[in-house]
Amino acid sequence: MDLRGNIGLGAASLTLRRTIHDLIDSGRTKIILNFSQVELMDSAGVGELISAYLPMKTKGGEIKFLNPTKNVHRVMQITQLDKVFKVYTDEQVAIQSFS
Amino acid sequence: MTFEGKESSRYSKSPLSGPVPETRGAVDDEKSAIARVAPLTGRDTEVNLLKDRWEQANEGMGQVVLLIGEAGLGKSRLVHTLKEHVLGQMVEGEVDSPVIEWRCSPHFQNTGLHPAIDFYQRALDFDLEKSAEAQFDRLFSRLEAYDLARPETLSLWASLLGLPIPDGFPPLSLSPTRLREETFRIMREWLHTRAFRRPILFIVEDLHWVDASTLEFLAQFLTEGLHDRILTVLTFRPEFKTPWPAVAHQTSLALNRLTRRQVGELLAKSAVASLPQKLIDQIHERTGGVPLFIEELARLVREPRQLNRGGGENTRCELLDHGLPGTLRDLVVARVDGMTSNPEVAQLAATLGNEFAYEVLAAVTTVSEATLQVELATLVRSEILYQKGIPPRSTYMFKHALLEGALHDALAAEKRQQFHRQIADALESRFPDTAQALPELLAHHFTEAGMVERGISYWLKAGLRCLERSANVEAIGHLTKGLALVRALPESPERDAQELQFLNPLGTTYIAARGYASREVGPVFIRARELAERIGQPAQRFVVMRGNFAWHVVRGDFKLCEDLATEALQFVGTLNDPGMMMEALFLQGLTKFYRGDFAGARDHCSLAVADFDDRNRTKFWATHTGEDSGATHRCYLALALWHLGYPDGALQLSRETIALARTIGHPFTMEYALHHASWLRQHCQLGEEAQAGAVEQIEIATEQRFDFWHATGTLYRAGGLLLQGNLGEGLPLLCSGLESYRATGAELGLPYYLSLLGDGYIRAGRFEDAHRALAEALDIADKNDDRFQEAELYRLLGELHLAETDDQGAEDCFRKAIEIARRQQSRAWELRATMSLARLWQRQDCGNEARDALAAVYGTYTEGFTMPDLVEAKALLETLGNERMRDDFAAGVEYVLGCIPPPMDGPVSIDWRYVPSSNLGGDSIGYHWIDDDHLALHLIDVMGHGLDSALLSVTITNVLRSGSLMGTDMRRPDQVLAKLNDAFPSSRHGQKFFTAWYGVYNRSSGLLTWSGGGHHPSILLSPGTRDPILLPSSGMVMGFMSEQEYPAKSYVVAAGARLLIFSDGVFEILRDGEAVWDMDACIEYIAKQGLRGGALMDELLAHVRTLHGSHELADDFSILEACFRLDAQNPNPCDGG
Repeated sequence: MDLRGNIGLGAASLTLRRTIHDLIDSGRTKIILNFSQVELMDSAGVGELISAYLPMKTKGGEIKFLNPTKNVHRVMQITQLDKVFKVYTDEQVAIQSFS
Repeated sequence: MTFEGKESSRYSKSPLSGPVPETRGAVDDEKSAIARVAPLTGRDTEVNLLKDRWEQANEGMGQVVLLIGEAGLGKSRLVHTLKEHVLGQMVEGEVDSPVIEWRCSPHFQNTGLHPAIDFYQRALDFDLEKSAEAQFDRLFSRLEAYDLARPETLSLWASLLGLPIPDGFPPLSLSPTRLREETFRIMREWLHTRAFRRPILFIVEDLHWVDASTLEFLAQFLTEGLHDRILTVLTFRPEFKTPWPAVAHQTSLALNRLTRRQVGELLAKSAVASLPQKLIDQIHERTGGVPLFIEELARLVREPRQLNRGGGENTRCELLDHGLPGTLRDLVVARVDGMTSNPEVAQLAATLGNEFAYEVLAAVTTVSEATLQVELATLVRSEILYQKGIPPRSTYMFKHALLEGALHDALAAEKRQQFHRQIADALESRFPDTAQALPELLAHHFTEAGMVERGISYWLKAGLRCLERSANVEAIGHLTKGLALVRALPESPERDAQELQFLNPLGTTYIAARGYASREVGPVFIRARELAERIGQPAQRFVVMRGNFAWHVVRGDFKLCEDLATEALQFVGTLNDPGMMMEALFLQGLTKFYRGDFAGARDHCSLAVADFDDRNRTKFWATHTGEDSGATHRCYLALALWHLGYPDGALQLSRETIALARTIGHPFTMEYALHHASWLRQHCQLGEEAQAGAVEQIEIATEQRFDFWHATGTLYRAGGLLLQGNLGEGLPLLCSGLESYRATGAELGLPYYLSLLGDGYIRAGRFEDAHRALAEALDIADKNDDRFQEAELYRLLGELHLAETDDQGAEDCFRKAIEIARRQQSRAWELRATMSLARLWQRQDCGNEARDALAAVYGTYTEGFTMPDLVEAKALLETLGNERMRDDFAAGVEYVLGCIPPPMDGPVSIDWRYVPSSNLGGDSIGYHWIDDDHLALHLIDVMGHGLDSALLSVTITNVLRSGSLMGTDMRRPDQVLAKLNDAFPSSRHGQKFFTAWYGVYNRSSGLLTWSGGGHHPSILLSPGTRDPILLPSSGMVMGFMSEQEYPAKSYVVAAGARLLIFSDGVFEILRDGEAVWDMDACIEYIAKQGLRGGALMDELLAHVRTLHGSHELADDFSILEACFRLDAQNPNPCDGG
């Protein structure tokens, strides 16, 4: 899933939550979030990612991050999410990592 | 169409008249008639004026001449002179006569349009055609000649002339009133068409005997303006007054009696030889200068044998010696006696009326046919009668009504009665068509014959026949005459039954002719009610009850209506008649509705619809009541449902009712349904729909001439405009509609219509007018017990007080409105009044009370949530709710602020800035001395915004401050955060995650130990160091995963160092969706500003606001600054320098 724009409090984080949960509900258990076009992610965005983690894990699936920008990567590091979600810089590698 | 008036001479033929020979053409008839009339004397001025007006009409300047004169002064003679002049202008080959002549008759004053129908029937020679089909064919061909043979027009003409409408032509489904209007229209069209082809002389004679319908037609015709190429001549006696205003092209011509000289001239023209002046003087004196009398005397002088006194000069001398007959009657009787061998023929003729047919007279008389013909010939020769046609197909007419009257009056009472009886019996047995078409004629003869019972029967038939044609005035005339006969009978149950038969149609006719509130209506129904109770025919009694009820309802007398409705229901309850029960339930439902008992109205109407609705039965009763109760019940059921709080159900039922009314195909019922549908939509505040329904209602009302429905349609159209905010058009239209409505005499529903007006005035800022309208409405509601709009009236009065800044007055009215609405179980009015009250309270800073009150009413609704009232209520609730939330938010901010310790001084001085975002974020700041040496400093940031985040954040901070984490050394940040992470998992706290920075400062060692969970670094600005020292952490965001480690780090803080702990709201700054600042830039700013000293936090806050472009921030701005002072162990100053 390609993400674009800023993921902050409000509509963006809400959209992210619904989209991820819809994917999970529809049985998708292998999701790659492409952050290459996300300039900013605040704590609300972090919260949405965390919220998605457990349901996915329960279903035996996994969410992986692709190409986070500097700002996003910084947030991931601060919140230690990079220790929970695997981060890739190559989309093919990220895809193949599921197999 | 060539109603060319071939009988437009004095030989006007009533339906009693026999056929007219076809062989006689129009022009011949006219000329022969003119040749027979007496010479005209002393009328030169009048003749010239009439000819002048004819010339003007010829040139396209239509004229009206009123020819006024006493009986016998020669009005008809003058008209004949004009006709002679007009007919003389006809050219060779011209067929259509330019003369149209209607004649009014004393015997048909209560027969609607008799002069016109009589004229057309004669002109079409209908009596010659025995079959109705042939008569219709003739009508068709005549109309076709004038391009007037359109199907709908033909149907109307057939109806006027009493012909059945053949298959293939449109049946007439018009109401009686509308039928009448359309009939007038085709008659006008015919006159105009005739005048378009050539100039027309339109004569209406003896207007003092005109029937009401003909007079109404003439009034319309003459007041519509100048008629091209038509000279209208109307003759009448002075006692008659024309009901239309004088117009510029109208001339009044009054005939005077003849002078002595003119009498002499007339006698000279009439008498065979010259008369002595003494005799002329005597004749002048005796006749008073009345030409008719003079002519009769002249004839006597000319033919004295008519007095059985011989003849010649000697007789004339005898006349002088013995004197002239004293009165016209004596003279005529003397003449007839002198000229006939058997006076019965003349006497019977006079009893038949002004005009009669040979075959009728032959059927009545006892004399032989030979004698009859001889006697008639004598009367014609003596110019007492005019004859048209040859016996037995001849018709006769008295030269003057005075002659007929004189002969009739001279009859002895017994003889007169006997003649009337002979005539009535003959008409009834041998002329059934006449009996059918003119029951009033038989009624007259039976009445005069003293045969009261049969007279009564025919007066009733005549009245009902007029009712069918909406000839209301004529109907009242017939019914009143019959009623007078009935009341003269000795009292008996049969007499009461007869009277009741008259009273019901008479009451209905009074309502139609003079209005709902006319003073005649009440007594009729009251009397009918007394009688109905005595004679006890169930259906008849119920009809009276309903009529009585209807009269009181439209007058708005609901207190009495309640009793009447109860009585009707009790009465019907003893019978097994579902149709009557349906009607009785409606009386109950209707009364309860108007009295504000909406649940009662619903119960009765729904019971009727569920158990007694039957199309055939409702159709039958509609003939008595005028409206189909299948539709009427549903109308009031829908309105009751709306009041009770079911607007969706009400609208659905209303739509079904409209569909049902269209199926029934009864215009009045359709109007009834549209009226109530618009009413409901007005209540629902659906302005466009109300207006659209009203437009259709007005269209039908215009077509059908339903004045009442036209008025209410206008009111709803205006109401719809007002709902759409169009005050400029709506208010004047509403006033106009109200005026029309009041003109019908009805008070029913006036409080409602006045409430619309009051509302409109309030919106327009016309407060005095609004007060007047609402006060009148409340007066009427109180007077009539017409309570259905009472709650809304008080609400509007409250709004008016509010507009006048009288808050207390407004609140009192709103409370009263709510109280009334609750008593009436009207959730609709309660909701509206509560909204008004809630708005007032909102303004008075009592939003919570307002919200509670409104929510309580709104919460009772189970449907209708898309209706404007409910949408508005919901929006108001949300506004009030938001206000409460704002209050709650402010309280939340206060609470969070209250939880942050105040700035402190000492070995460590601490200050902070906490600026909550517009939505209140989840930040909280805390610090406290764990013991004498250890100072804890911390900042929690719960993800998400709102009170829940703030409260969780404060809770965590309080836990830290109280040191209540069991088994944890609060001086150990790693332990504290690990414990905190496990204590506040997101799964138990609304999926809330949080970040934390927790540090402990040892004042003895100067060691700062800290740990963080998902938190960005804090900053240490140390004296002597340009670059800020970042104090990062490596713990996982908190509340996410249990049993995480939060490794602690330490740093020895130099004296005078400044520690800055802050939330992400300090550096995550967006403007127009773009990131304008980040953590690195923030650190750089702090480092730079920190070196300068000063109020760093305030400068930072100001800078962030500038970057954000608003005073309000998107996230909490939280920052804590701790300054580690110079002390004994660490003497460095804390000035940042």
